[in-house]
Amino acid sequence: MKTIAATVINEVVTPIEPMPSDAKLIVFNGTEYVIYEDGDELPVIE
Amino acid sequence: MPMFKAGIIDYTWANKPSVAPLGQIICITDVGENGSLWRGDGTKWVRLNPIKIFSLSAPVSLTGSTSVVTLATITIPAGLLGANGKLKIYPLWATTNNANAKTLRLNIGGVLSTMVSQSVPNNSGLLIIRNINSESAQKCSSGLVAGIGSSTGSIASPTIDTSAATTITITGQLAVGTDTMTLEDLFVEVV
Repeated sequence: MKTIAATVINEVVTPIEPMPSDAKLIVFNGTEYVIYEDGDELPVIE
Repeated sequence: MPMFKAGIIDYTWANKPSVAPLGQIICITDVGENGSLWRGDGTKWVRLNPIKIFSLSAPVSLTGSTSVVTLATITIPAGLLGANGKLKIYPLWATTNNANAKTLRLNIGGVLSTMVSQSVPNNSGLLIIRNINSESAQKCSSGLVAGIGSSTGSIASPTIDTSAATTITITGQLAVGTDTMTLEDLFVEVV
């Protein structure tokens, strides 16, 4: 698991780097983008 | 006079020949799932088939915020659409099943092209941006929830310059930050 910080550009929350193409799931949690990768336990999303 | 070359030669979109001999077929290796075939018409390169140019690799979920949040960004290479190309964008998204609004927006070239505010948990949309005899004059539907159907709204006429690289941005926004919105899948096709 890794994270990508977010910034605000023109009132839109945006990752500071491109999101990876090999993730299993990406979650913006209100603060940062959390990148779930192979082997990570995925959160339950309701 | 450019010479016709036998066989199919690989190029990238950026380094393809500036001349397009009639009947010459080339493969553009960096456009499409595993490249795409283009045929010269004597003036320009014309794609031979619809091309899937983007496919979301993993679901992107949003929670804990009521801000507008980027869920996906796609770059359309300069000139890829051509004067009569059409861009088809297919999002599939899920949300918490309650009455609170969850809004998906598609911005193309900085222009808000569609906005769908739903409270139901299962959503599938389609937005078609149609270049109309110009790389910088489009038409698309407006006010349609799913992208196909009828609406009392006028047809939108954006003026996005697709002769330059164009960015598509998909954003999500929650009315209530404890809800969740997940872009489950997204693909983009050029026809």
